[in-house]
Amino acid sequence: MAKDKSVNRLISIGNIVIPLILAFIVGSIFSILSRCNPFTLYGYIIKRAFFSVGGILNTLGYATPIIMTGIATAFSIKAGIFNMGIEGQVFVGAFTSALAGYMIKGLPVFIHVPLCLLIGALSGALYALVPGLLKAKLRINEVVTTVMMNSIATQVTGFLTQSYLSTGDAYAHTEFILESARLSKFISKYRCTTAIFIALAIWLVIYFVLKKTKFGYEIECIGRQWEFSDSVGMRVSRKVIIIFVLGGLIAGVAGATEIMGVNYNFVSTFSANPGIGWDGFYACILSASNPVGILIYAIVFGALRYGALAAQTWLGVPLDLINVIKSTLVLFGAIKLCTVYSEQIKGFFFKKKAVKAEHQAQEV
Amino acid sequence: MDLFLSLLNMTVEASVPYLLITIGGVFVARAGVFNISMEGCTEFSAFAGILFTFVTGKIWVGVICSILLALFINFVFYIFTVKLNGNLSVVGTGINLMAACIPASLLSALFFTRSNLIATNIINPADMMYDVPILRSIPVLSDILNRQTLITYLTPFIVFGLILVMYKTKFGIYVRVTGENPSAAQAVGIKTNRIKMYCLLISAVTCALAGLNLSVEKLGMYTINMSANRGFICLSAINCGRKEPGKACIYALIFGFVRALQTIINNFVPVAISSLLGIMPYVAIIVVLLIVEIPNARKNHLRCFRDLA
Amino acid sequence: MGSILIETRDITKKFGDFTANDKINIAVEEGEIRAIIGENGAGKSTLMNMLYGILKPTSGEILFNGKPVILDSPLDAIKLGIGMVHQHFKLSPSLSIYENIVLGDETVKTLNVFGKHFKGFLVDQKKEMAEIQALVDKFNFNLDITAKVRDISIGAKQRVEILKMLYRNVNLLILDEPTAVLIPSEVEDLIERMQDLKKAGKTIIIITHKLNEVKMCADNITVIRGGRVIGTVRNDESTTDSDLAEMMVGRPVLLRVNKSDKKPGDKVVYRVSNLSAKDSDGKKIINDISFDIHENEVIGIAGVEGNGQTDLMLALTGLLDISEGSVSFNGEDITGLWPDELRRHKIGIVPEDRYRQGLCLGMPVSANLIAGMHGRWPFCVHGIMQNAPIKENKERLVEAFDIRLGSDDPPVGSLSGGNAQKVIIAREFSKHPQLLLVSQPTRGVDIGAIEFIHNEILRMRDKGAAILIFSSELSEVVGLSDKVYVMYKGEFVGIFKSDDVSFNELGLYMSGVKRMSKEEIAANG
Repeated sequence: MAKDKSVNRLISIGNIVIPLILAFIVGSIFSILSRCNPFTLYGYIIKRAFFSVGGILNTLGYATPIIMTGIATAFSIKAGIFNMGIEGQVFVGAFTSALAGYMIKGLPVFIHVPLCLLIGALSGALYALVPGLLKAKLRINEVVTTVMMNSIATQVTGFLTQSYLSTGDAYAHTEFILESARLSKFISKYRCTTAIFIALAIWLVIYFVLKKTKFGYEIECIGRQWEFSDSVGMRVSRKVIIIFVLGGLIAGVAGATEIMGVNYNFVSTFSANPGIGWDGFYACILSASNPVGILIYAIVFGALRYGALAAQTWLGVPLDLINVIKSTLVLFGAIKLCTVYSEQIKGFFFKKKAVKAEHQAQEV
Repeated sequence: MDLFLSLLNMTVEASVPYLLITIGGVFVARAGVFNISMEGCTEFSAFAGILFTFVTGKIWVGVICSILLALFINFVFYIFTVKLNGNLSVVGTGINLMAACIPASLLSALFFTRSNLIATNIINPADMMYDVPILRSIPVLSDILNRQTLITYLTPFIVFGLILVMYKTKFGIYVRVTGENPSAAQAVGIKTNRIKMYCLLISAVTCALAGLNLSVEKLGMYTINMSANRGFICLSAINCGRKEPGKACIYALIFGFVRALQTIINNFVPVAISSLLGIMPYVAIIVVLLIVEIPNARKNHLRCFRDLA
Repeated sequence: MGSILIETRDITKKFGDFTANDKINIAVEEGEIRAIIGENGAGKSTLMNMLYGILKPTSGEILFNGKPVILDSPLDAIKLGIGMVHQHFKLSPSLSIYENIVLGDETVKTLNVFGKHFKGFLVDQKKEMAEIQALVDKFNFNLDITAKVRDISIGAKQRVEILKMLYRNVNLLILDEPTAVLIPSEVEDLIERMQDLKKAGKTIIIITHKLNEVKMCADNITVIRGGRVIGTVRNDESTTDSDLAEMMVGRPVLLRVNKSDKKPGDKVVYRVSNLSAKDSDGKKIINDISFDIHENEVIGIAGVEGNGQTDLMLALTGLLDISEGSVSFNGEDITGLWPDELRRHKIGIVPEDRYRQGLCLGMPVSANLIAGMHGRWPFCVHGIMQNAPIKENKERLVEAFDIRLGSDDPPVGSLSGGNAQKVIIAREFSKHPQLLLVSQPTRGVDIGAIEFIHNEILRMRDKGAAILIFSSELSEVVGLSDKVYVMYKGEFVGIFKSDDVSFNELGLYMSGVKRMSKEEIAANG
C-alpha cells in the first residue's frame, strides 16, 4: 500500500514535470530559430529574474496581478465554469480606476487609494455580472460570451482613450492619476508595489474560503455535479452569478493595482501579450485551481515575463517565445499523460517488485 | 442602391469564412465534441498559407501546407481530448494560445517583424477574383456575386454538400447518433471515436479554407490575429442554430452581414469611431444570443441547472 | 431438443482483485428459452457481456455451435448470430424506428454508371423502409416504423431493440432484464413474442431477478450467486418461487414486506391540492393532482415510467415550477419553495436518480452525508465548515445504517449500488423527518439492502412520518404503502387500498385501459 501511494505521488509529479520538459524543448526550438542558445536564454532569464534584489522585485511586480487573476479564475474553474472573461474585467477595472485616479481630486491618500480600488473592483464585478446572468438565467455558454466581452472591453476602452479622454499625445493614453491615488513602490526603480500585499491578502482569503467554508464546499459540489447540487438545495444558478461577480471583483482589483502602482495612466497596451487575465487563467488551469499552485505559477510566469523582457532587449529573443512555452505547458498539462498510462507505470513498478520477491525467494 | 448592392457584395465576401467554419464545426458539435480551437485552427491555416507561399513562391504549396497543418492540429486535438481524456476546453485553449503566439514568434525569428507577412509579390489579390461570364451578364447578380474568389464560389457547394452528408448518408446518421447516444452507436459496432476524428478532420479542412480565404485570397498577406474571434463567433452560430447545419449557417450569414455592415459604415465615419465599430460583430452575437435564448428560458420550467452544451 | 448452441467452459472474469465470474459453465440448447437469475451484482450481466463480446474473459472459453470462438466486439457476436437487448435501450431518440433498426447496417443506393454498378453514398431510405416493414409484419410487432423513437412507449422501444437484432439475423437472443420497465400486459405480450420466436427456431437467454416471470416463460433456469453457478433446474411444478429465491440469496428470504398493523393517524401532514405543471412546450405534464398523507401513512404512486412521476417528484421537491395548485406541510403553505427552503422543514427527500441528484460521486462519504444540511449547526458555524462534527456524523451514520466502506472515507462513486443508496437513506432519515418523499428507493440495489431499506421506511412510518413513494417496481409500491395511486399521462386515474388489489387490475389502470372518475378518486383519497 505504501508503495502504491509513492507510485501515485510519482504519477502526479510526472503530470507536472512532463509538460515542463516538453515546453522547454519546444521553447528551445524556437530559441534556436531566433539564433540564440536556449541554455544561454534560460540561464539569462533565471539570473535576471531571481539573482538580484531588483530582479526579484521585478518578478514579484509582474507576478502580483497574475496572483489575483489566477485566484479569480480559480473560483469559476472549480465550479466547472469556463470563465475566460477575466481579461476583459481587468481592462474595465483598470480603466475606471484610472479615471477615478485623476478625475476625483482633493482626497487624502488613505481615502483615494481604497476608493480607486473599490471603483475598479465594482466595475469589474459589474462587467462580469453580464456573462454571469446570461449563463445563470438563459444558460448561454460562457466561453463564447466571455471571449466576446473581452473584445468589447478592449475595443471600447481603447476607443475612449483615443477619443474623448485623449491628452493629444502621439500615443493614446489617459491623463496621469494623481499622487494621492498611487500605490507606493518598495524601490522606485523596480516594478513591485504594495499591491503585492493586496494580492497576498486576497489570495489568503480565497484560499480559506475555498478550503474551509460552506461556500467552498458548495463550489466543489457544483463543480462536480450540477444536478446534485441543485437537488440538495444549493441554488446553482444563484451561485453561478456570485461566482462570476466575485471573479470580476478580484479581476477589477488586479486591473486597478496595475494602473495605480505601475502605469499611472491607462494605455490600451498595459495588459498585452497575452494579458494578465490570460496569464492568471493559464496559471489556474495548470495548477488545476489549486491556490498554492496558482501562487507558484504566478511567480514563474512573472519571472518568465520579466526575464523575457530583459532577454528581448539584451539577447534579441522575441517576447512571444515565453508564450510558446506557456501554450505548450497548457496543451500538455491538459492530458496528464502519467495518469492515462498509470496502469502501465504501476505494472512496471510492481512487476519489478514481484521479480525481486522471486529472487529473494530463490535465495532463501 | 449602389450602397445596398455593395453591402450585399460585402456580405457574400464576409460570410464565406463564417459559413465554412460553421458548417465544419456543426459536424464536430453534432458528434458531441465541444471544440473551441476552431479559432486557433483558422489562425494557423491563414498563417501557414501565406508563410509557405512566401517561402516557396508557389500558391498551391501554401494551400496544401495550410490544409495539412489544419488537419494536423485537429488530429492533435482528437488525440489529446478523445484518446487521452484531456479536458476539451483546456486543450482548445492551449491550441488557441499557440495560434496567438507561434505565428508572432516565427515571424520575428525569421523575418524580424512581429505583425505581418506580406506576400503580394507572389499573390496578387486582384488576380484571385474570378470573373464568371454567366454572372457578368445578369445585371444585379453581377454586382453582388461576380468577381469573387474561388473559395467563395466553392462555399455554397461545400455547405450544401455537407448538409446532404449530414442528413442523407450513413456517415451523417452515424455522426448524429454518436452525439446523441454514443452507446447506441457502439452497440451496433460504430466506432464513435473514429466518427469524432472524421468530424474533426472535416472541420479542419473547412477551417483551413476559411483561413486561406482570409489571408491568401483576399489580401495576399497575413497579419497577427487575422481570424479575429471568427472561431468563437461560429461557435455561437452553431449553438444558436441548435447544431442544425442549415440553421447554423443562417446565423453565420447574419454575422457575415453584420461584418459587412461594419465595413460599409466604416467608410463614412471618422477614424476614431471606426475603431469602436470593431465591437459590432461581438455585440451582434450577444444580441442574437439574447433573442434566441430568452424565449427558451421563458418556456423552461425546470429549476435545476442543467448544462445544455 | 436440438444440439447445444452456446456453451461456456470455466469462464472467469476478474476486475482487478474482484472476481465477477468464477469458472462458470453453462450450456444452452438450440431452441430453448433459458432464464439466468440472480441478485443484483451476482455476475449475470458480466457473463452476458462476455457472451456478447463487450467484455473479454480473463480465462476460460466460449463455444458456439461446438467451436471455440473469440469475441472481440459486439460486431463479432452479431456476425456469429448472437444478439443482445440491453436493459437500458441503446436507441437514438431523434431517429425514426426504421433508422434505428438498420443503424450501422444501412442500405446505400447504387450508382449506375455506363451499365456498371457502384456503391453510392446516399442511403436508400425507401428500400430500408420496405425491408423493415416486411420484418415487422412477419413477426407481427405492431409498430409504425416512421415514428421517431423519442415519441414511442417503452414497450415499443423494446420491440425496436428486438427487431434490431432480428434484422441482423441472430439465432441467439439475450434479453437483459427485459421486464424491468414493462407493465403487466406488456410483459405478457413480450412472453408471447418470445414463444413466437422460439417457434421460429431462435434461442433465447433471459436475465432477470423476477421469479414469477421466469416461471411463466423459461424452459430451464440457471441460478447464479456471487459469480458462481449454483445450479440449473427444469422449470416445472416441482420448482417453487421460494426454492429459487433461496438459491439466489443463499438463505430463506421473505418475499413480502412485513407491515405492522399500526393504522394511519388522523392528522394530515402533507396536502397536495390540484397541482399542475407544464413542460417547455406549455403542455401539462402534471395535471390536477391532489392527495393527502396522514401521519403513520405511506402513499404509493404506481405507473409506467414516463407518465409524469418524475415530474411530480421534481415539482414536489422544488425543482420544477408549479403552474397551478398548492402544497401544504403541517398546515403551512409550502407551494413553490426551492429545495433549500424545503429542506429547512422536516422533509426528507430521496431523489429518483441516485447518481445524478442524490449523491456527488467524486466527494467522500462524509461530505455526502451532510449535503443539504451543510450550512447548519453543527456542521457549519458562521459559514465555516466544522470537521469534527462532520466526521462524527459520518461515523455514527455508517454504523447505524450498516454502510460498508472499503476505506476510512472513500468517494461515494466507489460504493456499490446498495451502499450508495444507504448513504442517501441515512442522510435523509437521520434528520427525523415528518415527511419523506422517496423515489425509486431500491432500483439497482441487492436483495439484502432492499430488505434493509424497506424496513427502514416502515420504521419511519411507525414512528409517525408521512411517506410518499414512487416506484416502478409494482410489488414494492403495493407492499410498502397503505394506499396506491395510479398515474397515467400526468393524471391520477385510480386509487386502491393496497391490501385488496391485484397486479393485473393495477396494470389495466397503468396502461390507461380503465380509469376512475375524479369524484371516485377524491371519495376514496
